Amino acid sequence: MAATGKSSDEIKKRIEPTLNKVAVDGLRAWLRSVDLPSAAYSRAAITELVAKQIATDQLDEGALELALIGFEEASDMRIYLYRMEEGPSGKAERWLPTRLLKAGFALSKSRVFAGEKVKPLSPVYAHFEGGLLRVKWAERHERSKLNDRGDGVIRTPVFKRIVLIADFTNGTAELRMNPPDNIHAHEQGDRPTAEAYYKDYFDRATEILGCTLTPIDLRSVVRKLVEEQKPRLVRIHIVDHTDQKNYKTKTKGPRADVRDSPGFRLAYQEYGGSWAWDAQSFYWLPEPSSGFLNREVYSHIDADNGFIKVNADCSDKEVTHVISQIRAREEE
Amino acid sequence: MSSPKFERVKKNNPRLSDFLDRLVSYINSQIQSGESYIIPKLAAAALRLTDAEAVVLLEVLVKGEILQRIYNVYCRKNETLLTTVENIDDLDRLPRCDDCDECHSPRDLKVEIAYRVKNGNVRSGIV
Repeated sequence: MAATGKSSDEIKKRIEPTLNKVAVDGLRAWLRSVDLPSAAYSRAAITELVAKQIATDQLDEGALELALIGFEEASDMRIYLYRMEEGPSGKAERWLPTRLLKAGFALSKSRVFAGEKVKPLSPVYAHFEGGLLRVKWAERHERSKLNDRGDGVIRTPVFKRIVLIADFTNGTAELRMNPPDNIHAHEQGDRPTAEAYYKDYFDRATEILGCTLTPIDLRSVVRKLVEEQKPRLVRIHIVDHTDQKNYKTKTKGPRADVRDSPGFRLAYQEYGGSWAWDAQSFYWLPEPSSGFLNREVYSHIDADNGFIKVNADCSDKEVTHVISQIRAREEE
Repeated sequence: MSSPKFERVKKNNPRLSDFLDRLVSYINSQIQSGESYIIPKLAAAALRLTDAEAVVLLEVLVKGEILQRIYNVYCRKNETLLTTVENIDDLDRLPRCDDCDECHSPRDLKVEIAYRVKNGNVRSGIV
């Protein structure tokens, strides 16, 4: 019997379904962040290890839950960044609860998992502390694809999470949204579209915050990240830009940085100052992150469409670091 | 020497005057190097502005009847330019995409706003 009064097997049974929702790479990254590093763990071994750590009080189950909620709110997200302008006057504490109620939320004391909500724009929780608002919605989509014989359709339910984070102290907001699947309830004309899905949540976020959400310019962020060489904050493996003659060029690197390609370097030195940066894929490097990252974290910045995409195994801490670095390079 | 039209635009927007001078200088250099239209994101990159700022300035020139808005239509899959149209209604009559070897439905297209000199001699610039 462990110090908590529960056996490791009981804990394992309880935490297994939750751990199964998180990618193994993400779990490994989280283990490294709590000083339990190993690259060799399989999912089963990780579950075993975590259950043992909880049973012997070396790991807090509440902290585990919060970390996994963070994964749910940061993984596989399209992230839109905004500045909040022309909002309601007075402290948010006064007017925010009413606006949240209208959107179907009562303020909650803690963050929770989304569960398997079905209806579009289903409220999960709204949490407000220290000037920081966090609102989560969830809904179910369906993924349809042809079967192997090509004579039937397979439909699979897929659960989506959407998170709004608003920082009233700094006047910033971000919307994190799982990309939609092909069958959902957000329609434009007579069919579901991704644009309608993103717009419905943008509109709902605007209703809650009662302000104008102005998107930040991501092209200048990319330009600065490409320019920064000493030290390099990111490893760039795909660069996509348009030159002044409207020729689009995409440069893809191997495991190295495209800035090390002699061809790219020559073109960049000659013309790079006037390129429009369209879409790049970065790996954020752990060394210059002052301990915020303990592995390379992937992100794709689509400046044409104004969003950042992060992969399916990211923790909230990693994504928050990436967003803070992007915001630090935003043009005023 | 500036055209009377451009001087009028600057007079009506005195706080934007410096920006408009820089933008027109950029437009002229693009036209002289053979470009037939101005793309906001490229103007923004060259002038170190945001896309939104470039669009606002270009729209000031549209309002002053110096530029006109046009639409570049791209194949979403290959990002190749299919055509440039002056009117949204013309989007119904698009050429076949040679790269994909098909006539695309609207959802397979990407439309980009661009600008060109209105009723002017493109070769000689706008001022």
